[in-house]
Amino acid sequence: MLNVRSRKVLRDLRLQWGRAVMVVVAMALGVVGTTAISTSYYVAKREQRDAFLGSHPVSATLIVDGLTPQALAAARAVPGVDTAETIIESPGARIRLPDGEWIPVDLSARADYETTTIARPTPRTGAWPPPSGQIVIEASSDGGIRSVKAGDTVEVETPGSATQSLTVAGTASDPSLAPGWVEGAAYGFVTTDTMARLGVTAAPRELRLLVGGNRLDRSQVEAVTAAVTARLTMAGAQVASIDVPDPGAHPHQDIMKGMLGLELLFGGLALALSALLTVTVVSALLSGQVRQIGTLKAVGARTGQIVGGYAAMVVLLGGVACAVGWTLGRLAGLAYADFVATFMNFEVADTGMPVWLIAAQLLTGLAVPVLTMGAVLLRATRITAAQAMHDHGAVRAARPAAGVAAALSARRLPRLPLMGVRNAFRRRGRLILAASALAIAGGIFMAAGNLTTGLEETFVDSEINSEPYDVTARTDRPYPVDRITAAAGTVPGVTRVEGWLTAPATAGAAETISLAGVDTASPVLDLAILDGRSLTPASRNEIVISQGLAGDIPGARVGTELTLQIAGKATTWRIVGVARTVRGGIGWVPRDDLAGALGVPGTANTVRVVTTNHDLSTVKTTQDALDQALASSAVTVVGRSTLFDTRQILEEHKVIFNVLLDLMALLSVIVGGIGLAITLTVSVVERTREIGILRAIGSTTAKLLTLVGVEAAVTGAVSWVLALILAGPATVLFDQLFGNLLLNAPIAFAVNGWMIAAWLAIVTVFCAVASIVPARRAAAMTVSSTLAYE
Amino acid sequence: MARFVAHPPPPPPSDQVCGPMVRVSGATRTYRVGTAVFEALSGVDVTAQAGEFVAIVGRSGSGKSTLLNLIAGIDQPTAGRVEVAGTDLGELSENRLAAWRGRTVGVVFQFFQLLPTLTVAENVMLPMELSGGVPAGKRRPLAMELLDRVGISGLADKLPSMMSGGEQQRAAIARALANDPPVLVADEPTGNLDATTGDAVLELLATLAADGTCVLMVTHERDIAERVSRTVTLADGRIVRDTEAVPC
Repeated sequence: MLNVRSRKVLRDLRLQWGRAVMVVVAMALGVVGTTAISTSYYVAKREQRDAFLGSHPVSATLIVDGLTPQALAAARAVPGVDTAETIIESPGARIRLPDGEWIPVDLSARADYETTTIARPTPRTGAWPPPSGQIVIEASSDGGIRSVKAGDTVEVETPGSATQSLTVAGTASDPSLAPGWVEGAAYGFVTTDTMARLGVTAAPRELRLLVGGNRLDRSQVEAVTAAVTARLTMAGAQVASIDVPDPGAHPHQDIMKGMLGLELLFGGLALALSALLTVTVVSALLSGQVRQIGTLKAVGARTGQIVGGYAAMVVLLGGVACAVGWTLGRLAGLAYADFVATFMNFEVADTGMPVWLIAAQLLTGLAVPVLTMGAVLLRATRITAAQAMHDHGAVRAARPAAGVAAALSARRLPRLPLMGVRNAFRRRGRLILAASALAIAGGIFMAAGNLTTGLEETFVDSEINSEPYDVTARTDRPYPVDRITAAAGTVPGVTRVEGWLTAPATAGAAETISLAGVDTASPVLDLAILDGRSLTPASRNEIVISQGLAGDIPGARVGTELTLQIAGKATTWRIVGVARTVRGGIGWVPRDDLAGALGVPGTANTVRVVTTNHDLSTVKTTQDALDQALASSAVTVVGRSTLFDTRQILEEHKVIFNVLLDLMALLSVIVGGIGLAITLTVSVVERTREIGILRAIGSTTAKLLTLVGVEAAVTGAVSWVLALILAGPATVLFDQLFGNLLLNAPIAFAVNGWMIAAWLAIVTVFCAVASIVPARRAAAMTVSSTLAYE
Repeated sequence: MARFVAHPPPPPPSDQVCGPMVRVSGATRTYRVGTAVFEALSGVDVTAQAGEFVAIVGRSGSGKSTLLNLIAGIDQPTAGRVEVAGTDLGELSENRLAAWRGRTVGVVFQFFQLLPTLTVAENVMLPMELSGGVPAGKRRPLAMELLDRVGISGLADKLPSMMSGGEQQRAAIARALANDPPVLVADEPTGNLDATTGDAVLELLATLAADGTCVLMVTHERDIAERVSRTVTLADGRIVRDTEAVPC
């Protein structure tokens, strides 16, 4: 049978069930946060790793001219090489969907899919491997292509060849690829004879290596790749470029890293807010118990005995919070892991979690709020019997008007609003607690908004503004600059035409970078320079590198020289600037210098155009006209994009962060709302007797509402100002932490005025609701019952 | 120092204390109100014996409740000394004081202060449970016995909110007697009751004193002198009058 104290605890909870529910919600928030974050973190990371490594991602890719069967055999014989496979790709291919729209597709063919080991696709639907004359679509492909079904017919076209009809054989998944829907790309698998039928008859140039042994050791991979390069050269082949991706790193690994970092930050904040909220709620729960604590002490209860009783309450509420919070958190975590899986192009095959993780989730989620709750309990129960018995709430805490209240008083403001202001400051501890909870929630809300805007500026606006070319066309090979710019210049509505030359290069041992040979006289190109300067018309063999490259290549900084392997030859460039971009390892160099290094002086392979009007219709029309103009000049286009395409791809890349930041903002709204509601409710309940006096001397319900409303408004205003002050440093912190994880550079600092205004609106609504409800309830009581209230 | 003899003569107290059951020596209690210091009690000396029924009277703010709180160990003097049942309360920590109070002093408040979520019987059983002095199996029968003694055994399983003021005060007295304390302090126990009920409560307290309990009561009741063995009058924190004061 329960002892008397336990029965008291249970009945107190039943009596104050509303506050008890709030305590559970406050504690459960922490459990939900930590469980959701750690579940998605653990499951997504494990499943992504297993799926990615399980597909045997390529250790190194070599572009080789003269890759004969003998050279391939020689490469396979190099010690340390587990597998060496060739792949044929068709740059510039496009596919027409059943609805008639043409979209670009990355087509690839392998000699024998049955024996393929490297980046082996997993069949999803229909036939596998792709039968001759048919195509298998990669499941993450972008847009409308995902709607095609096995048996549908699509038209495929490669540069310079006639359109061919191919039957869709089915779908397959390749977890080693960046998801097509994020990249704005479609992927298709065909056989080599289908590729030939499409007009791609060239010998394979792309050699993929899978290193044996510890293939996650970069130095080993680089050593084996170097040995293969040497062996190929001895066999008469020429290695044009080498790419060794970070071993075991997904193409979107940086995004995954940034996302996981943001998740951890989010989890920490959820925990902190949960603790703060728990303190607020428990303080409120105990505020009605001060007299009873005094009575208990008067009849002989020691502090430990009282704490013991309340500890039972903590355990009970904590247990409920655990059960509810963990269940919800796990569901949320798995849902987010699924979202991450979609983003990273893998499937969650196993949702299991080890027991230690579950235990850690429960312990971490509960430890902080329970410990803070314990501290509040201890403080409340250590009050002396005399203090407790004399705690009349308002009387004890009444202070002379000071600060704001005194200033308002001096201006002879109406008595009732002035009372509201004084009431807000009367229990300063509680005001600080409520305003702090609301301010921190608001600070996070605003900072999340600022980071969202900063991401938009960094990920999208900055990228678009640095290279604001409306239409870009990539040709199959370099053409004389004058020829392609002249052809583009005939297109109506074009205000600027530039010929660029792009080429891959290798930095260091095997760091593949994209080189962009630009028109240094361009008035359009406006790189986001972080350090140093941009290129000038006088630049010779100078390079501006991306901040990602600066982070990847040791010692690469402004003023130093960088040696690059371009078309198999070493060339040296002087680094004059570091620019911010989200596109990874890029170097901008003068076009003519790059053309010289490539041995194709005076040429360009990319046309970049600025149009008079920048609306979608004009841009699309210009793109089609550019295609025709280049084709008329016997220039074959293998890739085309508009600024709208670029924007969409960039937007897709940051959607994963936007979702997290939105969740963060939502959590702030919930926590802030609950905190304020509790504080004001308790504040009103504590003054029930005072309200009775006001009623007795003629105060109407409207006046009571004014009184409580002013108090709420003061609390809200104080919190909003504090939130605004907090949001600045919080934004800088978020920008630094997140930017360095993701981009090796801070995210651009930005202010989201809408979110700041939105928080003001939210706080106003919170204050209105949180004050009206308890005030109406108090006003509904009879004068006698309020005066008799204990 | 004013000293008082017991009337009727006291039986030996339950914890075998020789000498006065309550001895307050030079007790001063000051409070800080804002920047001002308010002296509630000023060098008060008072003793009381087992079996005495002492009324402490005076105007509001005279220091009556403060004196009672010092005797009950609910408050501590700023200066001076309080000994109850042979224990110097100044030597006890807040925690030990609570445990000591549970065994030694029964407290009755003007507003009863029954715990609202416990039944009357449970309220009475609570001090027994806290002190651990009564075995678990005997608490309920003992509580019923006490409730019977104060005349409300039929209400044992009611919540305080379902009872009248007089019934609640009787329950509070039963709770104060739960651990058979040698001292019972009551702060205006009739202040919130009608005249008839107040009379009954005073009668009950007198009976307790007659049975050997040292009862000290703060009261505003007129004509209280006829109901108690002695009256101590306070004004401005000092004893200005006492009745039947007999030196030891």
